Amino acid sequence: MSSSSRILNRVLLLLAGLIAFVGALFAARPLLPERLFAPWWPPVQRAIDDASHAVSSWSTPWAAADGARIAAAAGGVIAAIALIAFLLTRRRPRTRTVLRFQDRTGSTAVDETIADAVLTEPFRHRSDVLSSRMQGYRVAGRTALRLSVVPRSGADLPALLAETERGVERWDALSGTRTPVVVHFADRGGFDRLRSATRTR
Amino acid sequence: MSAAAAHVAGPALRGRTTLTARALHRLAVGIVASASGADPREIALRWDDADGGLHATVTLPLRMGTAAGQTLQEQGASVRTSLVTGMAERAGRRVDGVDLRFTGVRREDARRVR
Amino acid sequence: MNEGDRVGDRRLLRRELRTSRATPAVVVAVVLLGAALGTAAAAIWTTDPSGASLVQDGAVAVRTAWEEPSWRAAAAAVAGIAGIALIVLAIAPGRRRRHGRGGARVELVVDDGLLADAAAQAVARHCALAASQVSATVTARRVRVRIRPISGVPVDRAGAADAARGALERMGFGIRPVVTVDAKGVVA
Repeated sequence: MSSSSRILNRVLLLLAGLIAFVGALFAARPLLPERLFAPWWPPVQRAIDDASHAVSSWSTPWAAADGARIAAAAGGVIAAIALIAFLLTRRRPRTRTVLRFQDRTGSTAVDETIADAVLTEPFRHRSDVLSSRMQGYRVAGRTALRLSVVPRSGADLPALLAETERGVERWDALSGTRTPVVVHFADRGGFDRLRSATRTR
Repeated sequence: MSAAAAHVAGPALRGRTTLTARALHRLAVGIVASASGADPREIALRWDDADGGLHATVTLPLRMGTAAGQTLQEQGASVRTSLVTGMAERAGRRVDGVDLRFTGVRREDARRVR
Repeated sequence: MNEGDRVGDRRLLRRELRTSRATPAVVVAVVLLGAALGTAAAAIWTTDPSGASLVQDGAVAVRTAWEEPSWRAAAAAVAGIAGIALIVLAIAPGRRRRHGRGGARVELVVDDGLLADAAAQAVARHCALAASQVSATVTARRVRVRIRPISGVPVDRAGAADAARGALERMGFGIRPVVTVDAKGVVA
């Protein structure tokens, strides 16, 4: 996910949180001591009243609708469209094509399955690796590769790292470029939780 | 290859060489297979018309271990050139563009297991 | 490596080490979408007199509940808690339980559990203890090693700390060790 996409996630969470919190304040107003609200509430109340009067004065000729309903319907539809657009852009930017060479007579493209085979090949027959997987994704306008390796407990991590570097060297030779690579040594079970290393060997 | 019979050498003879779409396809797949070392059954190829010229879209597996030292770009360019040249020589067709895609890998030992 | 690559490295690492907050954002978006569509639908339906009754009953029910102080308090409490939780989610950095470092060619990201395993193994080997007697936990800046000693055998704390630190340095991570030895030991 790009950084602007991530920021958008947090902005939405912040907006929703503020709306919920302000709504809570609004709902609790008669229950809370007046002192909390006295300094700033009256002008806010006036603004709300003015806005609702302005909205109520709208009307359409072809429906028996008052301004409040129109505002609610329009606001709801606009918000719905914005939210649907937001949701549609939440897809992870995966790429199936990790390399592309183009010239006058056509193009040569390389699928991520090729990079997967080259980069995970050293791990396929190792007993100290439970699984390995490679995915391509786009970041900052470039294609990057993420190699995920799940080692068996007790595996020698520096040795595995050396193996990945050898695989990356082979990929560099084959691809003719230095694609950005992230190597992720992952915990078993697919979760990030802290685990103590207490185990019998 | 049946299409080889359509190749004429020496002084040009009158007439047209007519190839069915299927023959065109098989010819192209054969050229790509011999140029890349891939199994013809694993090559997907599609012909399109591009403003009067022929355009091929090819998907094929990569053979690991061949041409050690050749980059993917070089291997791709070599297969594309072979296809263009082969179609011109054998079918008298001019190919304007080839879009090639390497996908999946053919392991050398996999054939032995089969 | 030129400057462009360096910047890319940092961005790559940041992506891997922080949560994207995508799941909660999607949940919130879906809930808000439901509310928006519901509001628009209710507003449009009430313009037509036949469909108005259902919505109006609903509106009346909501209004009577609004007057009721206990309902308002409950609604306010739920909304307040949800609001604070969402604001915290939005602002908190969201560190994932892994450590990352750049390198000459690849960026390396290792889950904290694996780092803990490596540290615990190294300590157990150095102190000649069974693996079950050493446990390790890796946090953002520390590796906390806990040793359950063999009764009567003193524990080389400095050596254990060095072993833990060394195991992590071999992967390229500089994490400070904190070693605690249990007061109660295992008898043999």
